[in-house]
Amino acid sequence: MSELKNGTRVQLTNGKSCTVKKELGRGGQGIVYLVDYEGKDYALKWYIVDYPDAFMNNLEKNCKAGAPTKNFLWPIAVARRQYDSFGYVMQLRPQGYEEMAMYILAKARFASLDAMFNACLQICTGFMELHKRGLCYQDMNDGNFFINPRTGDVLVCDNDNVAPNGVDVGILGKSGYMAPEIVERESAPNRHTDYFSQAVCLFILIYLNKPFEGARYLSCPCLSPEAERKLFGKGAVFICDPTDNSNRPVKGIHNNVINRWPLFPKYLQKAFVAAFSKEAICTPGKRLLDKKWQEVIIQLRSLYIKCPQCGEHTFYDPTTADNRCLECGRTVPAVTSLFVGHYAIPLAEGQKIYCCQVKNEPDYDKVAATVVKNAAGKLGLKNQSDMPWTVMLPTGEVRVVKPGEGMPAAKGLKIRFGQNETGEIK
Amino acid sequence: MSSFDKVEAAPRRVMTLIFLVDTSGSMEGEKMGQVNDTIENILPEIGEISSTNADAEIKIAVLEFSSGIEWMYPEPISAEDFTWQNLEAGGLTSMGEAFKELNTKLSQTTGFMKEAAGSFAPAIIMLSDGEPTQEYKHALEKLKANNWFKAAIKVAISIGDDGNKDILVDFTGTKEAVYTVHNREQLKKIIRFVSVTASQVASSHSSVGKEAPTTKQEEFVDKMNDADNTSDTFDGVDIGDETTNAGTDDWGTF
Repeated sequence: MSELKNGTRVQLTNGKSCTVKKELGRGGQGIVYLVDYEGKDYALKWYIVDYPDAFMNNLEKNCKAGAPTKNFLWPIAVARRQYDSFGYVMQLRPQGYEEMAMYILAKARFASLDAMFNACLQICTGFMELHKRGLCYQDMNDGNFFINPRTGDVLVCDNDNVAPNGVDVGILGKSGYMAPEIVERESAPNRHTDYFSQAVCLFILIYLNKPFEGARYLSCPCLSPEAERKLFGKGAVFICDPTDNSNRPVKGIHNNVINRWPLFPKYLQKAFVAAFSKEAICTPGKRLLDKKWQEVIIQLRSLYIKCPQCGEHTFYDPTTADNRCLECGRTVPAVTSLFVGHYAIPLAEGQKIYCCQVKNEPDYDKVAATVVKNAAGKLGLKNQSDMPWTVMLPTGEVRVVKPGEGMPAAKGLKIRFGQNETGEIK
Repeated sequence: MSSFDKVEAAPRRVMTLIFLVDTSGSMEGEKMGQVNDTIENILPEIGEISSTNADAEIKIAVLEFSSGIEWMYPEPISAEDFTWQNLEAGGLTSMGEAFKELNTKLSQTTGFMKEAAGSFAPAIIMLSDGEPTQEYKHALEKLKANNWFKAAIKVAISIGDDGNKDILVDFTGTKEAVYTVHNREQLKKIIRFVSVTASQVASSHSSVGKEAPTTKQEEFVDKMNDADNTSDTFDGVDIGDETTNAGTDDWGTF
């Protein structure tokens, strides 16, 4: 295997070439160079360990198929075998993105919860699209994500390991992130092990502690690989498992999760309790799918409203009776809410209803309606979608709300969003 | 100030990187100077690995042995804050005493392994250019029975042909983690490569999977072997009991 000198021209399988400008860094698998490709700067990952042709073919196949979403630093061209090795060209990581490890170390933090929701949604949606293609990512850990703390935009790197689900390409992962059956050496990575790792990453981004590192983890003085098998294998215990308190977060050490766990709605707690239940730890089929995670985060985003009393943001869950504002501590007066499909959306001023909540639309960011206040101080819904809504009044009367028009956010109204979901304001 | 603003760094374990440095008379001159210069210069790199690592903080401890033994500092110090103090060579090679002292410190109750958030097994790098001048076997046997030592990454660098490779192999537990260097350039490259690789492997959660190595020592050796096949770092360096480059020692004049 040879390293590349500055100025070396590297031939690509697409018939084009790129030219090495300088080394950017190196890891266990290879060296990353800054290259000129078609007059622009890109990164070239150049392997320093030997990989079989099957690995290169897989890389080429992925490259041809293109990135599942814009969140992947995906191979855009493959460098054919030359100078004793091969590699691939990808986009450079833009400025302003931080590795997930920096969030764990509190050296980077989200500018707002909205940025955090966005990061979580981009992760769920990115992997959902990747899985839809029959692929799996394999080795998800704190080194694979670059996240913009201001916007929550995510870039997933190291996509050369992405392979068809069920095909064992011999990839190893990192304990604490990988699914228990991999830690126990029973399985190769697959779609279901990705689900597990994804839940670990989401938990870390939201609660800023690790899901299996509590009292039990601390009581192990020396973290040897053998100890890691016990702590992260099938005997792993979720730090917030309601049925097992042996691995609880420890005050003074795991302060982030101790502070944050009660701040988020029970709805989110339930999702993590299910994702890390003993059943889900041991049975891959019982894990939460990326589609479900997307739904959980979309719902969470909707529950984050402006407190009508103090004006600060808090969570309001229309399905529970006692909602206290996280900032002013007072009980939030009941907020009229829209119940549509899987979602409950409190209709506080400024809240948005997204197209993905009212019709089967993958874009989680496209707004269908916004809650606005009229001159009389009454709250209403403004139709910002491209379809008319049919509104049924309690009297049985039917009205049409065209795009751009508004309607009162009044209890008892039923709304049919185009040809799609019907929701009810309660 | 929102309720979500109160955030602190998640706890990390500590991985102690221990340098065991022979400072006997035979190290005097170029060898000692080179060791001082090389380790001092890789500390910022180790500090960088530590500062971006969410699994563990890396601390450093240095034990020198000549006619006696001495720690550079009484407790391990964070790699980011570590200031190297020049080691000076002179005297005998009290390797046995060094083993005994290391055994004492590799303990949760009497030694360095008492971190609140727990520890990873340490990485221990021994540098020597000669033979022990005292009985060492008993101390080494006791050290080898220490559970922290068993789980540790152990590497030995023999500086020149005069190092006792049998003892070094016994110390590391594997031939594959003993490197014999024959000149300044090799010494520099190997110290750097070994320190960085051992730090990375020892301070991270294990690699897992069907074909994963079962110990950190194995994972370290695998990485070193990969590098041996793909880079020129190991050119001219003998690994284990190899003698391919024996007789090529060139330490300059002093």
